[in-house]
This record gives sequence, C-alpha cells and structure tokens, in this order.
Amino acid sequence: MKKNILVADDSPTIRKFVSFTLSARGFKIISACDGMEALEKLPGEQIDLIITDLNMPNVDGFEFIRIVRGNDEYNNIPIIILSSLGSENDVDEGLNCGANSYLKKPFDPNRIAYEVSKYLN
Amino acid sequence: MEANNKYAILSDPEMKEIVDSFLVETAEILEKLDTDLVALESNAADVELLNQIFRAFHTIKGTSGFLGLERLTSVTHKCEDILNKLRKEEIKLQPELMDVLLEAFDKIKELVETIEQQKNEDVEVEATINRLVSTLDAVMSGKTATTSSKKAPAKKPAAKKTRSKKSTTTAAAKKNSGLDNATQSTIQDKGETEAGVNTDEPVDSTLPNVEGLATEADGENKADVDEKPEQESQTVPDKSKSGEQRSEERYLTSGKTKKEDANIRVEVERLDELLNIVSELVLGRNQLMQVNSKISLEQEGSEVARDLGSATKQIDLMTNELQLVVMKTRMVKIGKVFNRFPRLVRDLSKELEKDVNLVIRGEETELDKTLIEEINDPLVHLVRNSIDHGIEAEEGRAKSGKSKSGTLTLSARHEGNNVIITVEDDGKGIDPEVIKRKAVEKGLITEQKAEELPLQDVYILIFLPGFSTAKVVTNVSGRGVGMDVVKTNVTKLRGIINVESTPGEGTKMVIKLPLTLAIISGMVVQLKKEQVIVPLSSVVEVLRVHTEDISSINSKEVIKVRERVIPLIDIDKHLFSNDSANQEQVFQFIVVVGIAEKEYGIKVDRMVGQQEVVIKSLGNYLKKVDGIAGSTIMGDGRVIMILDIAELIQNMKQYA
Repeated sequence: MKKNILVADDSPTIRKFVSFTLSARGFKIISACDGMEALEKLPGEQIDLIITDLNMPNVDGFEFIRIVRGNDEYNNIPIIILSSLGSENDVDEGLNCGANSYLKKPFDPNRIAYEVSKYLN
Repeated sequence: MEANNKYAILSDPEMKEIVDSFLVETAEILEKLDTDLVALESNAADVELLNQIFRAFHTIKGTSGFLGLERLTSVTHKCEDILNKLRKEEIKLQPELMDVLLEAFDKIKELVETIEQQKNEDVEVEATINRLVSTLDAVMSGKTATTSSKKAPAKKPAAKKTRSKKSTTTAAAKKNSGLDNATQSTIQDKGETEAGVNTDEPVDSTLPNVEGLATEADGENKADVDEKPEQESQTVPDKSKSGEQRSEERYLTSGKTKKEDANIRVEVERLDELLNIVSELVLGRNQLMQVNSKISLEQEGSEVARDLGSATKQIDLMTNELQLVVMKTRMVKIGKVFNRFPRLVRDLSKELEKDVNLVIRGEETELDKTLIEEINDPLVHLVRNSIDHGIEAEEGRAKSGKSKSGTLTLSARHEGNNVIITVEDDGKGIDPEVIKRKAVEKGLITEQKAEELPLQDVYILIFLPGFSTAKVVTNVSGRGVGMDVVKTNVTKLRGIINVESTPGEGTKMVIKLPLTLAIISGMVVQLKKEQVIVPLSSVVEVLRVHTEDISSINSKEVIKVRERVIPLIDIDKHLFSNDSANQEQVFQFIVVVGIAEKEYGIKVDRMVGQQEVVIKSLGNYLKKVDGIAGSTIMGDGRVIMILDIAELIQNMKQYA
C-alpha cells in the first residue's frame, strides 16, 4: 500500500514541488495550506509522515508540531521540517518542538527523498 | 547546476506546472504586496501588516530558491532581512528604508516579468542589493541619511540621470502602472557604505545558500530570540488536552481566513466554455419563448398551452439565473486594478512635488475579467493627467484658497448593465479657451470652427491624436498620446467616455462600460428590409424627430438636439445599399449612440424591442465584415446582425 505524506506549506508552488518529487517515488501526498488545515486533515487518512513549513499563517509550523506531538494518537508520526527560515534558533526550536529532522529550502529533490526514506520503508 | 543551462528548469516541460504555479503565486503575492507596502508607510507600527509583508518576501524567497532563481532569491532575501528587523522592532521604519524597499519591489517585479517572458534572470540587481544592505546598515548603526551625506553628492548626479532616463521610457512606452522610483534619499547612503559592502559580503552573488546570513550576524538580535522558545515551551508540556483546546480556539477565531481558503482556481478557458454553453441555452430559451407565445395564441386556454406556459416560465427564470451566475464567475473586483494606484499616486506626487490624497471608492464593484485587463491603461493615463495637469502645486492651491493637498477620487459603481468608473480631481480644471487655442495652433480645427464649438465638444478635442496642452512636456504626461490611448481602449470595450470640468474647481472623467462582452442587451431596430441589433450599452437615447428638423451641413445630414449638432448615419444605405430616404414618413426615429467621447444618430424606421442576445462570430467563411460585431439567432430562428457601431462609423468616415 502507498504511504501517505501530509505536506503543510502556505506556498502552492512548494506544495506542488514536494508533491511532484515524492509522488514520482510512489508516495501519496495530502497537502494543506497551513497548520490549521493540516490539523483538520490529520484524522482523515492514516498519515505516515509529515513535512511542514515553519512560517505559515493561522497555525504556524512550531505550533502545529507541538499540537501533533501533544496528541497521543499522532505523536509517533515522523515530522520533517522544510523551511527557509534557517537561523540556528529555528532549527533548534523546531527540533525542540518534536520534529525529527530539518531540511532547508531550497532543497534538492534527492535529498528530501532520502530524508523521507529514512522514516518510511 | 551548470552555468549555461542554469535556467533550463524554467523551460523544462516536466516542470511547467510548477513554474506556472510559481508565476501565478508570485504575481498574486506581488499584487498584494504593492498595496501593503504603501499602506505600511502610514501604519509603520502595524505588526500584523509587517508580518504579512515579511511573509510575502519570505515565500517568494523560498519558492524562487527551488527554481534556482538566484537573483530573485537574493533580492527578496535582503528585503526579508529588513522586514525581519522591523517586525522585531530592532529598527524603525524610516523614509529611506521605505524607498529602498519599494525600489526592491520594483526590481522583483521586473525580475518576475523577465522570468516569465524570457525564462532567465537577465536583470541587473547588484545595485539594488547593495542599496538594501547599505541602507539597512546605515539605519542599524543609527546613521540617518544626513550623516552620511558627505560623500553623497558625488554619487547623486549619476544616479539621478539613470532615474530620469528610466522614467522617460516608462511614461512613453511602458504600459504598466509601476513608475520607476529609484528615489533620491536612499541614494545618499550609498556613497559611503557601498565600498564596504562589496568586500564585506561577497556572498551576494553566490546565492542561494546564504540563508539567514544577515540575521545571524547580530548578537543583540540573537539574545532577543533566545528568550522566545522558553516562554512558549512553558505553555506546551501539559500534553494533548491543552494542545487540542488551543487548536480549537484557533479554529473559532479564524473564521475569516478560512473563508478565503474556500476558493478554487479555475482556468479561464473553462469559464469561457461554460459561458459558451450558457449562451447557446439563452438562444434555446428565446426559441422556446417564441413557440410558447405562438401556442398560447393558437390554442388559448388548452391544457397544453397552460403547461407549456408554466414550463417556459420556469426555464426562462432558471436560464436568467444561470446566466447571471455564470457571468458572476467571470467577474473580478475592480479593486484588483484600483489597488495599483496608491503606489502610482505616491510616486507621481513625489516626483511632481505635489501633495495628493487618493480616495478610492467602490473597489468592490465587479466586472468581467476581460474588461478588467483592458481598463488599467486608460485609468493610469487619466490618473497621471489629473496629477500632472489637474491638481496644482501647493502655492497654486493656496492662491485659489484650496486645501494644501489635492484630492484625487477613483470610484466605480454599477448602473444597470453598466459599470461607471470615474476619475475626479479638485484641481484647476480644464479651461475651454486654452483647449480651443491649442487645437487651432496644432491645426486640428479652424479658428472659425473653434468659435462655434459648444462647450461639451471642446473637451472632446483633448482626445484628438497629437493634442497636448502642457506647455512643457513632463515625464509624467503631456505627450499627447495619453488621451488618444484612453479613447482607443474605451472604444474597444464598447464604452463611452465623458468629460466634465469646472475651471478652478476640478475635472471629472466618467467612463461607462458594459458589464460583459459576451452576452449583451441589444436594441432590435427595423431598417427598411432588415432588422439589426444595436448594443444597448452604446445607446444614449432614442429620438423621434420631424423629418423637417433634419438639416444638412456639407451634404451630410445632421440633427440639432439641445444645442448640439449630431451627425446622422444611414446604415441601411451603408450596409445594405438601400436608400432609405422615405418621403411618406413625417417622423423619423433616431437612435443616438455614443462611441467613446462622440455621439452619432442612426436613422431607423421602427423600434422593435429589446432583447438579451449572444454574440456569435460570423465564422471564417464570411471573414470579417466591417461594421458587424457578429450575429445572433432570434427566437424564431432568424439570424440578425449585431452592429459594431465604432467600426461602422470609422468606415463611414473613410468613405465619406
């Protein structure tokens, strides 16, 4: 069965890019335009991995990760941060919130595929 | 990535969807950014606004990084740095920062245009980036523009030169609203800091991997941020309950933003297709109604007639509704166009050293997408004209006892099936005598004709090609092309333009446009043998005149209405070669139509009625018939021609 990846990013271009990169490698992508929508989509299908941006309107990435990690049902889903914020503080804060790894934008398609494959196999 | 095909990704068919998405997304962001930036100038302390602007730059930076657009990434990156410091209140918004941000915004726009059209980034950005960095540095170190002005004079003249050159081309050729504004004050900082910048940050050109470089540099900043995680993490630990609660709260409070997400993007082509089908349905409805009225006459009172009647009524109602809804899907708020004006007005008033207040009304008014695209240029010309020629400089205003700052009002509203757009200023107005003199000087009219010209017609002179009243041609307007362009565009959209002016008090330009171009209301009129349709949006009034009141000037027929002379057109003769001069008739119907700024009377034999019609093109085999916009099918199956009034009159002038 295909693994489902939830992608939260406020930029449609980035959602498409990630979706393009990962669908080609056999994953199913569910996308959300901010943390809020991502939270709404979480209970729908079984989500195997989350890729999220940090700077988003409504519910930002940090808060989204905290909420996911704070929920017993979802706290085991691996989370990869994909953001261009990029200062050391953000990396630390993101990982402190409970993300598993951090990728800086712009990313190399192979790099993200590799990162994803670490968690899903 | 190899240097020579660095931008290959932009032309890669596999990536097309993503590149397109990037262009659409960026265009939207820039549109919003345009107004946001100008708004920021007067609301420097609005944190929400700062965040929005920050996010805009941030998103463009992120997405352009993917596509390997190094220059775009580096410019947006520098802007983001400034915004980041602003929103963290490390620096205050100063005029020179604002100017450099706006300059960068223009650069970004230029870059995106180049990316879209040429699939590369051939735009010089170095200077802008240096200015962004140096201005930020200057502000950070507490220096204002004045302290660094020691070396400035050397730099300034050169910069000014390029600037005026730029705006010349802009006014003359560039159709977009964004006037170039490499503004003066920012340049002052440059002189001192530039040399330092180039050596300090050679990284600029080797982007995109310099993310966060500038933000990291500053120790104070870091300390500031370090506190944040602690604060927030205190609220987190108590597990799922609080987390869920918080998210629920957010759900409730953000109802408004949710609504914005309820949009989907649809290709215009699909909407066109939908409209096409609805047009066919309208024709079918018309036919059904025709049959219905026939049956109800022939079989009055029968059950069939009654049932058909109610079914027809139902279909009629639904078709109307459907048509309305489909048209609405194509409607765009005129705010989309109006929003570009605060920036234009800001730049123009700065350049011309006038104090202008822009008032925008009715930005919610909707009109068809095709019209929106076409109305921008005429409005830009009108606004330029108002600020340049209409609104006086401060001393001038003081002399005539007006408030210090001039007011320019841009408004839109619906009126029946039309949209009325007005550009109004409280400037010095148009002096009819000056216009007349100028027109005579330019040889556009004779002196004698100028004497006889009624007031309303005097204003029309400004639309003549080659007319320019400005004594000195400025960069902004006054090339005599502007108003001519306005006229041409408005004519193309089957609109009417009207000038009202009171010398000393101001000028008002009124543009009247049809709501849509696909389905129109038409006036069916009878010529001798043919029926034709005159688009109702062009109709000004219908007159019934005594044939004796028709006089002729230079063997051309005219009528006099309320002290105005209106030339008459005999379409029957023109299109069908029938001479419709009818001696028996005592009265003649005249349909007065307006084309942009002029009015003409069309001689018709009978008024038949008004109908919603769908314009169908005549098809390739009939090629293009001059004076005919297309045809439509009437309820009884007859095909009737729809007149293209503007073209018709154009032709008649040629042959006359």
